[in-house]
Amino acid sequence: MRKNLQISMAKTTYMVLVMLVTLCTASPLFADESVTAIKGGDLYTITSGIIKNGTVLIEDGKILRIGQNIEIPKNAKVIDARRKVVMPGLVAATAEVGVGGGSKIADSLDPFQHDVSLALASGITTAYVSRGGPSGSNPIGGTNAVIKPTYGDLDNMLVKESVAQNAAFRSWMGKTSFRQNLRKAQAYLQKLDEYTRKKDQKKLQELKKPSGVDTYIRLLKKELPARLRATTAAQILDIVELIDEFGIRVIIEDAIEAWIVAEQIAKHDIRLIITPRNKRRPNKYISAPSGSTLENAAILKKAGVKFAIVPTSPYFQTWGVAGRDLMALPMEAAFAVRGGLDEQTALEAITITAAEIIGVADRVGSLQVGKDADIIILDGHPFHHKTFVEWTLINGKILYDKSKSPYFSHITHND
Amino acid sequence: MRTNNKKVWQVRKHHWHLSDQRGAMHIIHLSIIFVLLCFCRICIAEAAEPIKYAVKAGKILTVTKGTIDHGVILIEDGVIKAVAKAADLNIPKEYKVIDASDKWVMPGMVEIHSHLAGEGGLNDMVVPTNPGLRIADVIDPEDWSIPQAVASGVTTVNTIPGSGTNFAGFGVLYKLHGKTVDEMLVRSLGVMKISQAYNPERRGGDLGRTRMGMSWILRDILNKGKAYSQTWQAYEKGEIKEKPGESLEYENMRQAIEGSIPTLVHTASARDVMATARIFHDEYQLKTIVSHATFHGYKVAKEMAKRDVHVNVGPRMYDFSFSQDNKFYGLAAEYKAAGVKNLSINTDAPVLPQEDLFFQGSMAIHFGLDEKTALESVTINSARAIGIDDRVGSIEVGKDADLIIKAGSLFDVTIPVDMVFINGKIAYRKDT
Repeated sequence: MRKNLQISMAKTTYMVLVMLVTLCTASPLFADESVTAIKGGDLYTITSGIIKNGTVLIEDGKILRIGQNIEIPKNAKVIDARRKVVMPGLVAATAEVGVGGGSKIADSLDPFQHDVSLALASGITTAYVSRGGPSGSNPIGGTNAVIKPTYGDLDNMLVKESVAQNAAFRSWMGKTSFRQNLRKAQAYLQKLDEYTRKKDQKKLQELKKPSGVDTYIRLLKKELPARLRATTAAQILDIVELIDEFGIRVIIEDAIEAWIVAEQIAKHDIRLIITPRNKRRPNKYISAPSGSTLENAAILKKAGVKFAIVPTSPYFQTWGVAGRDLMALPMEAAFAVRGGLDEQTALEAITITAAEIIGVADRVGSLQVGKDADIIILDGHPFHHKTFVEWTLINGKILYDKSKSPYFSHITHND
Repeated sequence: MRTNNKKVWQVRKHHWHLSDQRGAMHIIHLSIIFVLLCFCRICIAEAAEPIKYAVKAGKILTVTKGTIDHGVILIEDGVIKAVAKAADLNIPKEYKVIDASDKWVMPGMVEIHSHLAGEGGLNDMVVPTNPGLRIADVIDPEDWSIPQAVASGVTTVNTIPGSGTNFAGFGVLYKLHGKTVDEMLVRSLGVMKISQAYNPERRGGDLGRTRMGMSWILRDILNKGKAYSQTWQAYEKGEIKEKPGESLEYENMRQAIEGSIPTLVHTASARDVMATARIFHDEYQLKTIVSHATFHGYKVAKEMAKRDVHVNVGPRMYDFSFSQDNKFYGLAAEYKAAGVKNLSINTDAPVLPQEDLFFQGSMAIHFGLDEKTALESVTINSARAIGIDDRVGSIEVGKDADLIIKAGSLFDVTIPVDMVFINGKIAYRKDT
């Protein structure tokens, strides 16, 4: 009995010793294992050029270091990216991914949706999603959020809620109502400001906030941009007028005829979401320019307009038509290049500018120290038709590996 | 002559309006100008569009005869007069030189499954079989999509009626250059257009709402067409004396039955693709184009490879829904891998825009097809399928001068097309 106890004590002492030794000598080793290094690829940083044969170090889900001569800590997890392109994960400024039913997006996220895993395979690591929208004569409505397709991981999926106010500015009723509400909100804010300045407590107490203007107040205070669709030059000019009057921030979706009014858009600092291949027939009854052109993006760039590019279809489709949905986001940007846009701006339109427009550029959209380690590794230039995503990392974790996923692992290009 | 013409134009601009008070004198002026104009028109035609071109190319992708680096193509009277290495050929003086020595030159694309410029005439959905209908009469040369298609390098198109009925009529084969259908025409009966399934069943009526019914309808009309053809052949050989009655409908069909035009069948899925091969190729021995061939059609690709059928893939370019193993299969790549040599790609425009034919090729490559086959699939293979490979689809002496000039691969999305020739004329030139 006693002997047994002695043995057991000896055992315990031994264990404690082993643990101590391990802690003392090997603790840096533990720290190293939390570091991931992507080594030897061409780093398309987006914000500071291309670093040939560079290394990215990742720690705690963030980018720790980027550069050419970076020492990789011993025992760091190394991803060999030689002859590959390493770039920030793509940002889809409009998408339908990872959201189930329900009106509040945060409550309806579904990290096990097939779309989520397709997003990863397509290199998309950040997406703007929305639910509902303005209906009837109500010019505003719906909710939106920015999410990451972290397959199977609900906790890291939501990035930010309510990054814009969805609006509609099409019917005259909607327009009138939008203006009236903004005016009501403006009048209220002016009075509030005036009484506050005069320290008129009596009037301040009497002042009542009109009902239903909370959102409009946020728009007027520029806390939120209004996000709406306007395809024709005339519709865009309507919005320009609105900005002249109220000074709100605006994001315009599907701005097909933006090239016609590029100067006004630039002057009013409107952000756009465009699809280079989206078509609109020229209006044969007017002599002024009209209709769609593949040069839209190039013309907008020249005028100094900031825009994101999204594909014709904001879904992850699996029914067979190739290269027109979010599975091939870079292809849409490639078409902008075909229309005369420079490659750098086209890349920005699916990364950093898209991130800016949806309000998350502080975290994603470029390879910069301190940003989220949302990184994709490609087997070629993102605008080349043969290119596949080989790895997708979100918050430093490999969530997609082409060779291990069934989707495309059997496809190789031998010629 | 060009400067002269310019002056005339200015004069015309200043003196055009007949209400001008200088009266009679002015009319005399106008007459002189008119005569001058008529004369100059001829000159303009010559000055702006010389008949002879010499295209200096950095690379010529002939498609059928390999690649020539630093080559020259001579064009005369709308056809290719010579193709050679630049070093081996002196360009005669009368040829206008197009300097594409830093670019690639390839044949114009041929699309065989399109509804381009056919708006308003695709589906006459009253009866299930319509051998009398021809889409040639529908083609609108002013269609908005044509210039865009040309600018992408599509030069020959087979526009077909829709798939709303089992036998929608006859397609038309034409070049994307010309002001009237007659000017554009290559062949007024491009193909006989049949729809196996996946659409024609939506037509109401008594029979043909199931595959059984549709197959019966198709065999019935094919039998009638065949009988008509046999009767006429017998009459023409003198085997029967009495002249058979003429029928516009069966006259159209005769060309397909006797093999002078192919039969293009809208079909998809393993089951229906197989039915198409069995009925149209095996039973009726028609020149069969298995078109679409999508969904899980590729699962019977080996059966297609065994037969002398042409497979025309699109607008879907991959299968995921039916693969059952969570994989994306490139359709063109799968047919090719199974040994199908007669392979082409379509857009089914306007399902996908006609100008995206090259992009369909890019996507076929993305999903595993090799670049060489992809180029053949939008040029010589489609030309062969429709029986005009003696005229288009490759860069060879004697063929129509339908060319694309581009600073790189046809399938590189980022590079726009610089110039397109159709019938030896500049049909598109990029603004610089």
